[in-house]
Amino acid sequence: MNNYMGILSAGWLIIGGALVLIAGTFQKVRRRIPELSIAIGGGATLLNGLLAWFYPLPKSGFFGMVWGGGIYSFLAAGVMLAITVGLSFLWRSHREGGYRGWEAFPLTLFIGAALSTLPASNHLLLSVVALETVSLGAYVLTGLSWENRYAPEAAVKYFLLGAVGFAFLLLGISYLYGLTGTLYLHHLWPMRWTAWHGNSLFALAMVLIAIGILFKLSIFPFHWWAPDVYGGATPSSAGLVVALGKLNAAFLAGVFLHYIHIPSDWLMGLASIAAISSLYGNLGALGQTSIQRMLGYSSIAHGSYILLGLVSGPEGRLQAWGYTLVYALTSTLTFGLLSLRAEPMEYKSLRGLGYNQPGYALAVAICLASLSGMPPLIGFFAKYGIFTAAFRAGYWLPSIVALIGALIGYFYYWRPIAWMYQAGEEIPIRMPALALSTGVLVGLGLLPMALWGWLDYLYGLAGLFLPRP
Amino acid sequence: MVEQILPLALALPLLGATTIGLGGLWLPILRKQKYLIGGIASMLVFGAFFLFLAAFLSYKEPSYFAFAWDWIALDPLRIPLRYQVDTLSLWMSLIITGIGALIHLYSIGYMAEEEGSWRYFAFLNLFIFAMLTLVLADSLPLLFLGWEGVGACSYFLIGYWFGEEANARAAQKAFIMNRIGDVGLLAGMIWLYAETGTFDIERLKDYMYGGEVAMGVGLLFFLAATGKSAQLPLYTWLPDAMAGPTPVSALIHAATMVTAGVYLMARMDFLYNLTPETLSIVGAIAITTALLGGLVALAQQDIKKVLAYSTVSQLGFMFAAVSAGAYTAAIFHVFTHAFFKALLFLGSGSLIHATGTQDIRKMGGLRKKMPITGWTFWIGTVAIAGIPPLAGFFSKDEISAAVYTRGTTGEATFYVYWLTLVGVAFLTALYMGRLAWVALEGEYRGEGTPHESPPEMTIPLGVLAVGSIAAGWIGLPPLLGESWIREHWLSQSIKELSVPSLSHGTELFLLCISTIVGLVGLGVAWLLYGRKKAAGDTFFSKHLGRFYTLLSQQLQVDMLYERAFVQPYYILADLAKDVIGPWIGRGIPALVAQMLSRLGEILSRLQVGYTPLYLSYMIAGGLLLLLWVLTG
Amino acid sequence: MFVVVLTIVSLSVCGALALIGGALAVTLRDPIYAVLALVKAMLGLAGIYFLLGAEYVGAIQVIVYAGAILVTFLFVVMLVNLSPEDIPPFPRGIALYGNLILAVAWLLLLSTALSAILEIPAPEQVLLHVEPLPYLYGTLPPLGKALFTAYAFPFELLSVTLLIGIVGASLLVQKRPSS
Repeated sequence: MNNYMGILSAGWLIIGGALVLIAGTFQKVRRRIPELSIAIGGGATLLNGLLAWFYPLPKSGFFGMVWGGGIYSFLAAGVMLAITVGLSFLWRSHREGGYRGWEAFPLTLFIGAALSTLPASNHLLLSVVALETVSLGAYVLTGLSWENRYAPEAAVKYFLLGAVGFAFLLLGISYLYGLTGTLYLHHLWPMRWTAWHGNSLFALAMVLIAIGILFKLSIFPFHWWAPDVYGGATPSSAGLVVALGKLNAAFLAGVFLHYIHIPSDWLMGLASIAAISSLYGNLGALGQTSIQRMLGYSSIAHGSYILLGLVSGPEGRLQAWGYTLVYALTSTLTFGLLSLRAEPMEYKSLRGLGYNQPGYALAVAICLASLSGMPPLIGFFAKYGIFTAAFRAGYWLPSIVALIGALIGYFYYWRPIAWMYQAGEEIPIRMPALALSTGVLVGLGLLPMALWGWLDYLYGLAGLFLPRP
Repeated sequence: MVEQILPLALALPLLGATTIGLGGLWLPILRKQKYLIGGIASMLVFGAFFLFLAAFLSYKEPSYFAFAWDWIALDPLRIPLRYQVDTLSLWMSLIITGIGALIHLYSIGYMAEEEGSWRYFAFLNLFIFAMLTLVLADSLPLLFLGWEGVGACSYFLIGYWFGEEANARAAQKAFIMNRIGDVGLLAGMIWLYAETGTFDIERLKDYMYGGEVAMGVGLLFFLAATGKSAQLPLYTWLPDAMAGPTPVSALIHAATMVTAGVYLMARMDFLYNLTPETLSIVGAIAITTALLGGLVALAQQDIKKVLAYSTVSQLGFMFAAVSAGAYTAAIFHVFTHAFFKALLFLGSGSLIHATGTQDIRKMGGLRKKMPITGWTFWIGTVAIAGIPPLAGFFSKDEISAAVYTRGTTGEATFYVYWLTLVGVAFLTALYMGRLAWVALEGEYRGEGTPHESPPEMTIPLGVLAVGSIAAGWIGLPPLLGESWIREHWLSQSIKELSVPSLSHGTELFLLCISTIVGLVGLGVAWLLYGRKKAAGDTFFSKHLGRFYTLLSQQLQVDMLYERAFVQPYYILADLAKDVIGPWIGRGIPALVAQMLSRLGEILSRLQVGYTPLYLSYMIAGGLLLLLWVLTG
Repeated sequence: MFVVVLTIVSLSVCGALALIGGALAVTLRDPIYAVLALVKAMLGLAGIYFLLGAEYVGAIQVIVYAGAILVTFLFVVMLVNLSPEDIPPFPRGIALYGNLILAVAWLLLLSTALSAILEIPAPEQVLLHVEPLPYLYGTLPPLGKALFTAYAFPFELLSVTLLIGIVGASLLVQKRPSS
């Protein structure tokens, strides 16, 4: 119990967020809130990175409730990086008065605290609390905009449907508790699960949990909210909202699939659902004229790749988590960047950007290309990992179908790029983007393999989860 | 030791490129500090040179150093960022950083009046880094990265004064010509990988190749080399590349980058040793290029054009050595050539700097006005002409001996090659003598009063002149002693084609021929240009007639290429634009896309935006899931 | 035996109470009646907690939810002064479809649960160790101890959840400054 590594990051963020909240009540300090929050978020990224570096072997702590160090800190660092990037885009819109108050910044820090706890949790209660904390924050971030009239509607829709999805999840977990008598993951791990196979109560519990998680991942029959919510969300935070949802779901689903052994034909069913979902999301995204709605549909597709990875054994789960981190970071970056330029985000408004703002346009193009899965970029390596894991796990047909979906994805991800490099009128843009594009280039082109290698190393060291604390 | 030093040595130029590049971009104040920028750039390259020198002095055996992460890691293909240090790559690194550092120093003076010199130094440092990556790379993709990196830097620097269209065009030409060669490198690389399943050069060595693989890959790599190292038929970019600043011509287009092709073939020695037929083809092209370069150089009036064609010709010498299987001789010539050609280019830069023109007819008498430049230029001339005991003599003699030796093994064509090489050696002495006498001696024919260049330009000239005199002494012919570079250094990493050694008599005969040819060449040059002031050109045009005019028009190869390749390419492009594009390129994909889009629209029609409906869809989905699980 | 039957009957009654209350809360047009129906649902839940031996949670359910929170709801509803006509009815089709699906779902759940009771494997079959209920289960002392030792972190994280709720609510109700 005396190991506090697991709650270090959460503690830092909660205390930091609370301090920011208090500081915001002073009129003089209020202007500096965004910078302060970004600093705290960046600090958390650094803290987790250092923990992962110096303690490659994870340790259980705080009454066996959370893990700390190693791969868990690595994942938390990735989460905090995405959140910090998201915060810096919020900052720009905040300065221009495009949306509601400064409280969004401490709120995002609290989200970070919960989200960095989620993968490290060793107790389903904690997981559920963290999940709902993140979701609650995401609902709020969805509706920040003053200018976008769809934003509040999207927020309410997200809230209502999210609550229903969460209810399914809770119901399922309560059945699980009723069946097993424990919520500690290290108790669940050594259980003889095969004895439950064929039991209908167990099946019911699993289906309810699956509904909750598939909902959060926005997988086909449970995805209905995604286009409306992501398409209507506040533009500058849309990327972050998508990222939060995916990270949330992927972490929890990974935990379930690791600790609970379910029949292999169910896994196959999940893989098939993922394949259908990939087709659905990608085809849906194809028909859109607004970039943000395209984002909504494509999030369905990305959710399906994540699911495909999650069901493909331990190796696949690692790849899926890596993919989710990459997706979270890239989508935050891409849609944050796009929101600087165009509100509402229509393809047409990008016309001529490649000539007026070459650096900025290049950054956006690289991000989009990475999302589509272009080979030298990180998005490709992430997708490659998922699909090889799926093939190795034997999901041939679902993988091929999902791959066809991913191919369709190229079409709509490259369309904005095509628009950017068409001649258009001169519109001044609001940021010196060369620095950014350099960063994006280096970050998405070269470094990721290093990070991937690091993740791989930590995974090999500890396994994704250790059986006992 | 070596593993600890070298990452730092590699990092220094990269650090310079990024700091100068980004600093120049973001801090406009910094751009005015030209001496600071130039100083930093030079110091970093000097630092890298001394680190390599330390590695050289402490060198024991081949070693590797890798950065912490893989560049590409897709099972089963793994390409780490790993560098290999053996005698060959270390030697090349020494040349690159040593000559590079001197040229950086020189550039401070040369570019003192330029506004955007930060851009220049950033690219120059980046070039050093890319070139080091090329020679130190442990696997072919990394080598390719360096290969493309130097190509890109060369492109940026040729087009440094991009305000003028001719310069931009020259840069594009260099870039496109090199792409043709790169196809060869890429294809060869992929072929090798398909054959062996690895990209690592060390592991490629141990593989047993079939004859056709070795020959095919060897020819593909040679195609790459003809692009980068300006051989027939891809050499035409090099004379145009003189549009860049002169130190760039010295560093990239004479001393280092253009020798990358030679390095590649020396590195791939195991492939070429397997198929001597490939080497015969290489030899034919090398000899033709050498002859052509020498002839055209004789008729040029632009000082840099003369030197450019001279470079083409000298590169032909190096490939001739490769074709004889004497890779050490080639690398040795790379080494000596780097000194005297850099010296000549820098000297010409100094002359151009002082007179403001590149036309040798407007120069003359400059040795008296600019004594350091003049005398060092003379040293370079004598060195390249192959007069003992200067550097050029030893390397050239080794090459001609190697080619002659191949002839004695029964390959009669190599006697022809050898004879041509002797002729080209004569031509070299002749055109260099012409250049020196016309530009440096006699009366000054230009405008203004030229002055000697500042010390940051003359110091490198002095150092290079010393090198041009002494660099050859590490490779003495067997008759005079022992070739250190061949026996004690490069033999550790290069395996030459085995040939019988020559008798002392033959060797003496070859030495004499080399010396005599050089002396005669210079003598004829003196007769034609030194004694009778610049009468040589009229002499040639009278006796050679239209051939000389053709030579002075650079054989009209550009026009030939224009007619043979560029125009048909335009026709093809028009075809693609008018026929293939609209009908096949746009039509079919558009049809598919339209169908998919229609499908997408139908799907998005389900999305009505009504929350209760979504909820019931969801629950229905959940029910289906439950039913499936319970029944199935 | 009698106790078991009594417990089952009571549980069923409380469950039915909660179910009917919940259904009424959604379907009643008059908001005040809807809130009162929700009170009924909460009380039903509290009854279930009591019957399961979680007296403390049951009491909290009555005091906090049925008492404090729903009274606040009532205040809000009355302050807004909504009349039933202001609330649009469900579209007929959706209501029908939704009810159908709900009915099927309910039946399926019921049948599953009933059939499952018969086939639950004995605890020893699946569990490595079966822990007996702790002493004083469901009362305040063990609950407090658990909350401040093993469950301290989730407990504190819940406070963050509430904080997010408060901050989020205050964010979303902000109006754009007129300037």
